[in-house]
Amino acid sequence: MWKILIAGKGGSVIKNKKCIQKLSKYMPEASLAIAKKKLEQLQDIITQSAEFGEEIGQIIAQLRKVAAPSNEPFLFTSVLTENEALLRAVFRDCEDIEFRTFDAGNRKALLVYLKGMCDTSNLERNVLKSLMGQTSPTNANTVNALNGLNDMKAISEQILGSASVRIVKKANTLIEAIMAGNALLLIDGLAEGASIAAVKHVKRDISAPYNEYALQGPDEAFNEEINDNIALIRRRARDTNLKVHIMRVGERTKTSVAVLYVANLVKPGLVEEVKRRIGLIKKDKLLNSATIDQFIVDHPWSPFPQTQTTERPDKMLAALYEGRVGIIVDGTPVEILVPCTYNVLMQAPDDYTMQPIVASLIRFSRNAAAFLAIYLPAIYVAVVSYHPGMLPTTMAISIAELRARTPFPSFLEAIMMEILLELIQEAIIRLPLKLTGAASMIGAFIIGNTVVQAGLINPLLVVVIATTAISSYSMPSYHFSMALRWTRVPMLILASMLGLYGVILGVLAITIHLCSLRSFGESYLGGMFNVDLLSDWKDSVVRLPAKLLKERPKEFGAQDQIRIGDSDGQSGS
Amino acid sequence: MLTDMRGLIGNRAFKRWIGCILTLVISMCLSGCWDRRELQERHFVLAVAIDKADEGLDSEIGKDVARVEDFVQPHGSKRYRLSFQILQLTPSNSSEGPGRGKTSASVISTTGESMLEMIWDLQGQSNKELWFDHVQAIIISDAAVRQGGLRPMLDFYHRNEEMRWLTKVVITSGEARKLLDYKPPSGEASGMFIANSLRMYGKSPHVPGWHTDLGDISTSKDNRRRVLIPRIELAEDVVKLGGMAIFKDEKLVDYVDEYATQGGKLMGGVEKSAIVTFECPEHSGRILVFELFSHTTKMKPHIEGDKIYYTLDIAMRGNMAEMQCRLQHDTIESQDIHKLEQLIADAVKKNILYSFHIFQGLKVDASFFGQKLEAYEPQMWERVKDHWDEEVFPNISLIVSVDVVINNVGAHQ
Repeated sequence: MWKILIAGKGGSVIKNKKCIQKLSKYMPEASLAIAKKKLEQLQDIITQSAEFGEEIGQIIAQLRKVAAPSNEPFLFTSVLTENEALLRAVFRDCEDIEFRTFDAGNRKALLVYLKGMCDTSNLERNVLKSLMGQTSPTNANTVNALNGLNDMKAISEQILGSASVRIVKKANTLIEAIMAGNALLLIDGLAEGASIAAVKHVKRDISAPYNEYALQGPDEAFNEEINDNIALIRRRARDTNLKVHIMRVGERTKTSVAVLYVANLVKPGLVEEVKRRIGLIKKDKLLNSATIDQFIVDHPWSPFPQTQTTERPDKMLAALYEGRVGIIVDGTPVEILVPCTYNVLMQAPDDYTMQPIVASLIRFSRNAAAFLAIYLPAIYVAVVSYHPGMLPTTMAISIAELRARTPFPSFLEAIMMEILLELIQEAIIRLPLKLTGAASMIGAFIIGNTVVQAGLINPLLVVVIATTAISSYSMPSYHFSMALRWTRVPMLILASMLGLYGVILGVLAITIHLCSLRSFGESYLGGMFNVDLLSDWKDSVVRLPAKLLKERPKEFGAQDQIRIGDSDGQSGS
Repeated sequence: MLTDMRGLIGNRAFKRWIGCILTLVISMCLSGCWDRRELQERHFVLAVAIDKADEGLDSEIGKDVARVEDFVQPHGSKRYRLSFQILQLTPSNSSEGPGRGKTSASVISTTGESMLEMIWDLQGQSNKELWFDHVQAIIISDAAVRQGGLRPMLDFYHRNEEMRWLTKVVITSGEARKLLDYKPPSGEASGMFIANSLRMYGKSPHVPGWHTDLGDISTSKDNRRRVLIPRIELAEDVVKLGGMAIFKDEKLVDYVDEYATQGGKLMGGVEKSAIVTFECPEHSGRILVFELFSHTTKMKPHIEGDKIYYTLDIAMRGNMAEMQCRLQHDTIESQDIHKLEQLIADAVKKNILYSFHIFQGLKVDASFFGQKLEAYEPQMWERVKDHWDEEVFPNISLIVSVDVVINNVGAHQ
């Protein structure tokens, strides 16, 4: 509101009245009504000018319009200069595009490519040299040869030295090919272009996995380049049944998404479903695989990850040979595996390089850790504030003595500690690498020592929360450990309101949720307790020696259950 | 995005969900109000002592204190003096660690007739809620028991849901409250001290540990069987467990000594270890001691006409723990070993029959002879159960056969 305090010198007029007056009383142009009216006028002008702009744009488009089908920007003509003008119109203001005109034989030719995305030396060697060689006067025979070739197909077959050449007539496809880094060759007199694959752009080398480190195992991880990623898989399996289906997602970015599967293993219908769900994605851009993940899962509101993410090609290949489907997204080093169940999230690559009996114990402790990570603080709060009779007397006494110094109820104490822990975790993730050491030291010092000495939090709770945190860190899947962190807080609230009764309610709720959660038709947790799938325990609850893992997990419904002596794998299809 | 949210809120199903969640959240807040009490906000009652009302109030100061502790009650008379041992929390410094096994406790008491009425009155002497989940021991005094039997004293503790089945009950001939004031050298509260030493009945044959906890007393009482309560005595700063009191129909029958207690345990087969002492037949006045490691005990009733007799077969293994006479009986020669084993068997038999005759004399079936009869000869039990304790049990005979094997043979020169 336009109120102003007028005091002192202006106050002579209103000395005997209220000190606070509307400014508009003295300055009529400052009144709210007038300001509103002016604002509306301004908005009208803006809208109108936007409409004008749009109309002008439409007029320009109409002026530029050439005869073309509705879904194509233009049609190639056989006149090179016209084609060039059309292309220049499409690529206007794209200053990183290169138009290279040259003579090929007696004709004019045009090479169009993106500067940063094309291997120019490759083009020079295989395209420019071989075509321009035709014009050299010493080579009279071939001049005729080129003149005799009246379609692009013949040229690509006889003259171009590039490994991959595609003849394209449609302008849309060609433009897309250029944007993907291919070079476009146009020759005067031909109403078609050749898309020459000479993609070369900056990319990262294959490096060791950042987040899924394995003690003994391959150290190659996916990087951002989809072809490299597919190559990492291909290199590990000489199998024609391993299929790759490439789709484009993102209305503007048109990002490549590859769906990988083993044709004679994958559960019938699964690949089609994955393709269908990816096809349904409506999005302008696709920057990472997590977006795909959120579009294709059945329950986007659940905190639990319903697709498995991995940056390890060996993990993906192992999954493919269990009848699962891999999704590789261009531009993301973290790829997706579906279906995803609790079992596969609990498997770490190291389980398979260790002695089976050791690995089984580790599997067990990992499951126990998952339980602790959700329920331990809740059980602590419930027992301390509702059921201390459950503790052995000496323990009850020592806990009571620890708690006697702290002023807060156990729930508040636990929540404070949780917040502290979350803050430290968040800080360590966000900070530059060199500062994380300092942050974790401060965190350790605060949690480990000072908070207790200050009497804010009792040492037992520190032990409880630290155990919980460590437990959640031991999960092989980061997303799963985040889900555990998320469920911890509601559990804590339940425990503080209803005691152990609340904890049990929470256990029921989470178990029911996990059992009813479906990832591409497979129950998330239910497979673990399904009597029919009991044989899957050989590689979930325990890990048997590789010799005994003769069958694929039934859970994913692979077409061929037998892993060893599998004749289909050899014959191909 | 905003319109999406608006659409979501307008959705009927969504509204219903929100309604459900709100109702749940509100009801949850309610339930927290009346049951949530933090551990440190409760007064741990560690031990309960029940005395006769006028016990230990001889001095002037005692009378003053009693006047303050007293309350006006509408019904009944001042029959009992109820005392609680309450744990005092000593806030631990984090650097020292909690408690270090030392606990400090204080004692509050009042007089009255109803236990619950006294407890509610005792809240007036306390700054936190009295809490009975961790009661370790209930100590009753001889005088209080003789006043009105067991029922008025223990009935409340049987009914109260905070009590635990395994709470220990002991009886003392002196003043029970003094045991609460007793400070064991270990630094723990005396209630815990008593409970812990009772838990070691397996190691101490003189302490009756079988079926003597609060829950067992409750079931025995309800089945109109005998009740055994271990006896504890305090003099100066010496506390000793040993022997037991036998109750029948909630009345104190008599105390029995440690030797009879051990005999009873041998009969029932509930001992984990025992020692059997006997005099050396060749060196009079010298004692030999056999330590029992393991045993198999089987008691079985038999009927001959109208006569009931029991056989008790005991197989024992153990070693010679002490030999105060030299050489002759050392366990090298198998003949000597057999001789020793015979002597031990005789000593065990003697011990068992000693207890058996005491129980018969008291007309109390302390070792479940009746239950054995009910299990093996139900028809006979039906005939005799009404006058079992008074007429039948005192007249049955017990045939004891003991087989002893000495392990760990060898000799010391």
